[in-house]
Amino acid sequence: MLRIENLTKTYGDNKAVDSLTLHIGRGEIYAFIGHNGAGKTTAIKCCCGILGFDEGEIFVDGVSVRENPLECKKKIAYIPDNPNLYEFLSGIKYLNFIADIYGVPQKEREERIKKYADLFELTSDLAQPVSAYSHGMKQKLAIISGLIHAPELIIMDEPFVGLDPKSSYLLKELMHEHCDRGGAIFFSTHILEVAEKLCDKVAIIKKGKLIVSGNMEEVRGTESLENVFLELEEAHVKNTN
Amino acid sequence: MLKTLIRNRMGALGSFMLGSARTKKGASKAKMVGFGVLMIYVGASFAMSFGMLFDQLAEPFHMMNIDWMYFSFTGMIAFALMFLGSIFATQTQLYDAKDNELLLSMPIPPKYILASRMAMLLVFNYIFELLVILPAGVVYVMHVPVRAGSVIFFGIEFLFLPLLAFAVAGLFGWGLALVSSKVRNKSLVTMILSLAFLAAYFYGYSKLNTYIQSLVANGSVIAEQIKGVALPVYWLGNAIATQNALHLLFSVLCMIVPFTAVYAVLSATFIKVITTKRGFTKVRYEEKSMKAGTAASALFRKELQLFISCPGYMMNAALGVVFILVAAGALVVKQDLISLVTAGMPDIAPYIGPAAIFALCLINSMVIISAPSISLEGSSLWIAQSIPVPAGDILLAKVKLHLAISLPAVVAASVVFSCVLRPGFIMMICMLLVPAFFTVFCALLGVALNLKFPKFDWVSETQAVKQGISTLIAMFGSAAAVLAPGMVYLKLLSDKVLAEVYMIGYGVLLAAACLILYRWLMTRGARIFETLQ
Repeated sequence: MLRIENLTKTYGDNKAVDSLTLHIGRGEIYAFIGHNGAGKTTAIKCCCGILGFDEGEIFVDGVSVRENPLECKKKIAYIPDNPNLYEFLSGIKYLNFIADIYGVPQKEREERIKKYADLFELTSDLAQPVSAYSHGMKQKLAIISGLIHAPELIIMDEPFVGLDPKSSYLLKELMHEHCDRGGAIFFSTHILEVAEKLCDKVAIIKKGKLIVSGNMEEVRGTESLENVFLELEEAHVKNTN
Repeated sequence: MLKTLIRNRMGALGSFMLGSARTKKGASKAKMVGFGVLMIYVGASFAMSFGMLFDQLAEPFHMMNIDWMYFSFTGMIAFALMFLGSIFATQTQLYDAKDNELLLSMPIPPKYILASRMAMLLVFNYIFELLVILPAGVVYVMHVPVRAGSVIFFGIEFLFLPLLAFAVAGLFGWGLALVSSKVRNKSLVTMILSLAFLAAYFYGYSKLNTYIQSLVANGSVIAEQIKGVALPVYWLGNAIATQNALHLLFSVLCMIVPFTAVYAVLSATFIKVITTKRGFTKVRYEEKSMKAGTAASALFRKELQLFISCPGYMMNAALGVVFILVAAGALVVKQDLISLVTAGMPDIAPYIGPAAIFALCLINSMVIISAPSISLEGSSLWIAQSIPVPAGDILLAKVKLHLAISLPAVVAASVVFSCVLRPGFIMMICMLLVPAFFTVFCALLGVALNLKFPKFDWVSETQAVKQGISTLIAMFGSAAAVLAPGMVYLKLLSDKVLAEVYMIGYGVLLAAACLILYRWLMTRGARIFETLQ
């Protein structure tokens, strides 16, 4: 579903992402882990067509992001780490805007908005301006707007930040449902316990370079993901020194 | 700490106007030079108009031996400009700045936060003041012999006057913030107050000539009245005119004391006002049938919603639309007078058509709706960049908003101009088409300029609209695109080229410029938008 091949993105002399290669198949939940500034958000933004890249290729369902970004964007839902939405719109107007952009028919949009807004207990607040929302409410609205066009691939940057425990649980359930229907999810997180329990595969990057990737069981072995992550980080520091 | 905060605010202002804080790229030399030239042009335009005003007063007041009135009048004009120029900036900078809460969370005394913001507003005040006092000083020196003492007193008086303007504007902004912190629809309150100010301003402006004539005719009487009811105004003028040290002291005290008092009140209530949450009445969502639309209409509606939800955007970017309608209305009201003038002076008849078209275009250049539209994406830029819509369509939605707001007014005004002035058939076609082409040109130019000079790290929408370099260039650049061909025609070509031919040529040039700009936006502009950060 998502193929990242030798992705390299530089800012001036700094390689934010360095020859990153990852394959995320249909039905997979793929965690993307790394310390702050490791290049996760940059890689994610490149996948969504928000940032251009210097080398490599990204394919969404076989379509090149570089050559046909619009076709790829139609298949993707991107939920950023900081849900800066249009504050001047009400929640419902924002969702309607996104539905219009993705060409979601009237009946489907009504059904999906009702389903997800009820699920996240946001329905009664949909008439409020987004500027009046709390961070968590904005995050929920961003998630609903991501799901409204039934994307095949969901790319999320720290999706659990700001969500209350119930909403976090619901999001995890939705992620499972999405993958059971043949979709794919690629998301970054610092909550290693969530990644460990939720994901089929994991990739760890450090300073833009992939340190390890693969099935969760293979990467983790007999240890916790947290221990593996810390050990790999340490080993990488020693190697680079 | 205070120094750091002031440096930070000044740096933010500088980078806002010139550089890009996100890319950490400094302003290029060419950009600096261009900005400098633009500033000189703006400053010179203001200075010229004020200079002409003072030129009518300097000699008569000197002859009447009331030189102090000249300086008092200078002070009042400077005060009015500073007050009007900074009143809403005061509110948005002091109370609505988006980084207020961040700064309050740091171990910084609130009075320092306040002082750093005040420093920036004072800089603005000094700039506004210079636009008035420089031409006033130069004009006076040209007409009246001046002593060194007067020059020094002039400098001292006007060094302190911005403090008084700040005090009054700060007090007003404080009241405004207090009122709006208690009402739900803050935008509406700001809008009503802005319109009230605007109406007062234009009323005063429309009467300016009458006031000047009255001042010249009844200078001595008015001077006596001012001495009676507004003593500080007299002290200000007299201190400069007669080098009266006591009056200098009194007038400077009249500026420092209110400033100190307002600063004390503001710093005591600063936290309370900026942290008072608005009393939102929660609107409960009721499910209703939703309308599906196209992506293009969704983008347009989003732009429109942004426009109408931000009074600062409406007031600063679309004021020209009101002026266009007022101009059309004025033409209807004064049509008898115009007929009388044209009948009495048949020589000017050929110039009326081109002059009307250029005037309409000139007013139109004040409409700068599209010029801050990219910057206004702010931190939500990721949405526009991640949706499956060509960047060209997103840019076009911004152009469409500009046209939707201004084009109907322009067309209506063109029709009124044509009906009232009744030029020949060809000139009438020009009158209908050229302002419309110019509107399209302004809309496209605004977006193109904002693509070249975007700023996303604003602290309030009004800042993005008022202080962006793209809005400044859009306004003065498009004004130059009217004034230059207008002057060329009137000064050089009016007796060589038929007015109709000249206006057709101008219209063709505008249409070509529109095509070039449109093509640029859809190709290079779209690529720039995709890579904005």
